[in-house]
This record gives sequence, C-alpha cells and structure tokens, in this order.
Amino acid sequence: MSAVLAQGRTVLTANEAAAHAVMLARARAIGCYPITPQTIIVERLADLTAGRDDVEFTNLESEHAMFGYVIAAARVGVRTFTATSSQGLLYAHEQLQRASRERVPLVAVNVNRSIFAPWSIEPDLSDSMSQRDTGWIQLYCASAQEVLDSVLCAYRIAETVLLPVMVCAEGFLLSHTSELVDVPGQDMVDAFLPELRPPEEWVLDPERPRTFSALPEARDYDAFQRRVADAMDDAVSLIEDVASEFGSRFGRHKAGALAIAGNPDADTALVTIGTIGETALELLEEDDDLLLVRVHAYRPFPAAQLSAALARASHVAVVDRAPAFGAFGPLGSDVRSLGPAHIGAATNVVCGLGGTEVTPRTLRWVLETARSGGADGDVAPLYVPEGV
Amino acid sequence: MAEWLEEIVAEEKLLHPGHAACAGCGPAINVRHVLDGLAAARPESRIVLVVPASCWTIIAGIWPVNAFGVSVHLTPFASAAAEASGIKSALRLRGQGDTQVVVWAGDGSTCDIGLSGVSAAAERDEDLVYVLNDNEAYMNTGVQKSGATPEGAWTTTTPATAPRAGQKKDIARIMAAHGIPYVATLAPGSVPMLRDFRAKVARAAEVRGFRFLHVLGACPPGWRYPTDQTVEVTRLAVESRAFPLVACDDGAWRITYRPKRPVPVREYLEAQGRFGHLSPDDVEAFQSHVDERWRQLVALEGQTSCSETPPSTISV
Repeated sequence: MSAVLAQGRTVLTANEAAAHAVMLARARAIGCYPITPQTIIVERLADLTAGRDDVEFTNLESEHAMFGYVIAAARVGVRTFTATSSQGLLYAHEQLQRASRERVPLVAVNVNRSIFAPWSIEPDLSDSMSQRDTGWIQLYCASAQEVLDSVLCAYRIAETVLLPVMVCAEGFLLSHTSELVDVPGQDMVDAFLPELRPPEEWVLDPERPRTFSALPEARDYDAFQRRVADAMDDAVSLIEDVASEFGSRFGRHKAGALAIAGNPDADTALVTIGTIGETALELLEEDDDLLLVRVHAYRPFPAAQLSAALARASHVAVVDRAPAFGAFGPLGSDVRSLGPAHIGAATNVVCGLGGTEVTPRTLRWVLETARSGGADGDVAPLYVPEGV
Repeated sequence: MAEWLEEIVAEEKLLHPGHAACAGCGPAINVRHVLDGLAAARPESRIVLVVPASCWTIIAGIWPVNAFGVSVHLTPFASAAAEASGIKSALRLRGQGDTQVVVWAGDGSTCDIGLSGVSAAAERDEDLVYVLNDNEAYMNTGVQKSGATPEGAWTTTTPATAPRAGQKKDIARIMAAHGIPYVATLAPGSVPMLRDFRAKVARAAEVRGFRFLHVLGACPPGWRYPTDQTVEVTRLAVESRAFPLVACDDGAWRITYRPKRPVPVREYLEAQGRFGHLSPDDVEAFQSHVDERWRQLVALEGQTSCSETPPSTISV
C-alpha cells in the first residue's frame, strides 16, 4: 500500500516537494542511493511507490550505478528520476558527462552540500558548480515551491531538447525547511506534461536491433558534440517559454532564466544564485538604488538576459556560494565574461561555504565593497572578512 | 555428435562476419555461442546485449556499422550490471519484460572496477544473464594485470622480472556465495566441451533471476601463442584443470567435465609465452594450487550435490 500524495496548499520541505513533483510527473523508473541531505526524497518516493507495478523503484549500490540505471532505463523510453548530493554527484561525474552526450532526458535533484575535505554536510554550491560544464541544464532554486515547480518544468525541458536537467536546492536551508507549498492537481500536471515520447530512432527497442554510442570516426564524434551544444542553445529560449506556459497554466509566477527584483534603473546590481537571492530581498526595504538578479537557470548560461538586465547598473556585485580555486567564483567568472566593461569589472565575492550564514549584513558589505570601487583589476574573488 | 555439430554450424549467427576482432580471438567464438545458444533456447524472446568498455566496443564496429544482430547498449567500465538492471526495469514497464538482457563484460570490468555492481545486481537477484568474458588481463589497453590474471603470468604491468603475485580471483565461487540461481564456468576447447558450453547457455536461458556465466576467452596477443592454437590452448586449460568446468545450479555444485587423464599444468603453461619465464618451482607451485582448487571443488560437489538431482540438460 503506497503513501498518499498531499494536495492543494500544504506544508512541505523542499525534499518532500521534490518527491511530490516526481510522483505528479509520473516518473516510472526511480534509482535510489542515500546521501544526506537528499535522502528524504528517495525515502518519500519509496513510500509513495510501494506496491505499485507501474513504477520500478530500485536501490543501487552507488551513485555511479544509480545514474547508469536511470540512463539505461531512459534509453528504453521510460521517464526516470534520481536524486543525490555532494560526494554522490561527484562520484557520478562520469555518468553525468555521458548522459548529456548521449542526449538522455533525465531529471535529477541535487540537494546542494559542501564537499570533502574536511567533512561537512552543510550547504554550499561546490558540488553542482563543479559539474557545470557536463552538459546538464542546471536550475537553482530559492524555495520549496520553486523546487516543485522546477522539477515539473525540468521534465518538459529535458524531453523537448533531449538533455538532462539538474534541479538544485541547498541542503537544510531548503531540503529540511518546511514551507507553505501549493501542490497542483494531477489533471493540471498531466495537461502540462504529456507522456514521454522520444524520437523512435533514439529508443533502444529489442525489436529493432542497433548499437548505441558506438565508436565513430573523429569527424562524427565532433559532430555529435556540436549537437549537444546546439541543444543547449535551443534550451535558452525554451526555458523562458516553459516558465511562461507554467505560469499561465498553474496561476503563479515561475522564473525563467532569471528572477529579477528591485529598481531596474538602479546604479548598483547584485547578482546571486540560490537562497542568497531570497536573503537579498530584505535589502530592498532599505535600499531603493538596488537591482537584484537571481540566476535560476545557470546552464545554459543566460548571457543575453543578464547583459540586458545589468545594462543600466554602473556597479555590479556577484555573490558565489562556491569557490573556483585559482580563479573567480563560477558565477563571478561567467558574469565577468559578459560585456560591457562595467560588467567585466564586476566585484565577485565568495561566501557561505560549508553552511556559513549569509545574512543581509553580509550582503550590505558586498554592496559597500562594490560601490567603493570593488575588485577592479583583481584576478581573484574577495572572501568576506570574519564577523561580517 | 556430427549431426549436432551440423546444427550448430547451420544456425543463424548473431555475431556477423566482418567484426573487428583479432585473428584467433577466443571471445569472438564464445560470444557467438552465448548469443546463438540463448536465441535457440528461447526463440520467442529478443536479446539486448549490454557491453562495458572493452575490446568489444571496437569489435562491434565503427559507427554506424554494427557486427551484432541484437541491440547493443554500450556503458562505461563500471556500470554494466546497473545499466542492464535499468534496461530490464524499463522493458518490464513497456511490456517487453520477456527480453533476455545479457551483459558481456571482461574480467577487468567484472572482477575489478565493476565488482560492486555485479555483486549488487546478484544480491538484488536481477533477471539478467551476466557473462564474464575472461581473457585474464586488460587486453584492450595492451595486456595489463587484472584481478583475473593467473599467478606468475607476464603482463605489461607485471613484467617477467616482477611477475604477478597472488592468485587469480575465484569469481565463480564469489558469485555463487551470493546464493544466485545459476553459476557456471565455460570453455569450448573440444566438441564435448562445446556441448557442455551450449548446455550451460541453454540452462541459463531457462532459469530466471541472476545467472552468471564465467567464460574463458583465450587471447593470442595477450597470452602469446600462435593464432591457430586458440582451441588447443583452451582445451589444455580444461584438461589440466587450470580452468575446471563446473556449475552451481540452485546451490548444488557439480563438476560437469572430468578430464579422464588430466594433463600436467606444465603443458598448458608451456603452450603460452606469458608463462615462459616461470621456473620449475613456479610451475610446481602453480600445479599445487590447481590441485588444491580441484580438491575443493570435489568437496563442494560432495557437500551440495548428493541430495540434488543434477539437471539433465547440463550432462555431458
């Protein structure tokens, strides 16, 4: 007997919201391996799918095996799901690279957690940021509702462009924090998310014997990689379209690539990712010369949207919750790669590692630093001084 | 016997001519007998072959050419067992659960990098035929030592001046210890041995759950013998008891081929360049390990088979 899905407005953690979205999306092959703080997602899915013969829920022996399991099941044309965190995501790196190159429309939730060493189970974005070039679309969330909505959108996006999508949610800050969440009805989700129908020639069908991912000549290998890049390009506008369709069908706003708040003509812009973007909203109460840009879709990188959003600011600050040793932070380098010059000179601050609190006070320090000339000419990001 | 051989020769081959295996490749003979045997045993069901990184990613053909007559799913080195499980799950969901999902994996993949995956799929009793294609080293990368390399054998990472220490991993008994329904060792070194081989493939097709076939695949460049000696070297492996032919069917062990007059292991070793540096003492030690393992198998057979009726299909 399987557990029952909550309906309507209810209180859920982000982990529970993810599990609800997966059930509403009718994922049929689910690969499971525990890791804190993700584990509750697969525990809930084990309960919700218990005794059902239209779902295969399999406990694997590692994340590498787990991603292999869902990749293989997806190749047969079945909608899949899996979730992990931190070391688990890193352990699966080989499979992450392969999933995008093989054009497998997976959806996975990564509950962000810092990475070893030393040990910590607290949140930062080092795990998924280190996988940003694997060819996965990455959506970073700032609330439990956004996790639920993003998982549903992720299936639409993945199955349209045939690329895997990683929905990222910070551990504990989201995964274990209860919030009011609106759980849509099954009929609405079914209308938004039709049954998976990948191209017939892509599906591994025993009735039509063929070899998949066989060794090609160099020029064919090159062409396959270019198609992955093209699919990523296609995803840029698709992410916006799916978000706007979601908004009109479900009656609530869904961010596309960016969530923008504050004064569009402000002199100072603060670019964030994840829950720091929620914390930053508090600054608007005291600062009306501030534009907030939270990056929701980090890959494909929304370069055009960001350039447009930041066009009028003369000071740009970018907050990363992950280091990129020997260079600017991941989001910082990406933003600094944009023109024009004032964006190229953006102040980049790395903070919040290993669960260190990022408060409005931290962000005020970031803004003061940026407004006073910031990191012009620096070759590395700033780290927040102790006590700020 | 001749009639049976004619049937075998006449059957439709699921590995087509024109594949890219080396001259004298033992596994090329073996994979055809595995696939053709499974297809013959269950003609109504299709086969999906799951192949991790190995010589077979190349032998299968350069894209878009394909030497196999079945669907092939290629995987990274360590995840063949998990991916075969994923394919089986998805086929069940799509109403194609009758498909035979078959892993064809080398000894590096099975005994080393992918062992946790093989063990986990066995422990879950996944409905798969897992075939270990054992050529006793990493051959695709140019002959490096694996957990299945025999003691003393030369490889490029265990040179003659620092030969392989320790024993070949006893993977058949490791797998049997999982309590899976069927484990067998196979090597087609003669017509009776081929009969044993095909009977075990047929038995594997008949059983449900995790089935493990350990197939010895003689490799001319890796074992250093002339390409026309593959069958003879395979025969010597079995006749010397270096590679005993056994089955563990539902927990009951049986030696399925008993050499009438076992040949000294020395003859098997001398047929291959990879053992050319062994001293008489090394050969004697090798022989004593072979004898000890045979005694253990005889004891296992005595303990487990007396109360069981061995399935007639695997009688030789």
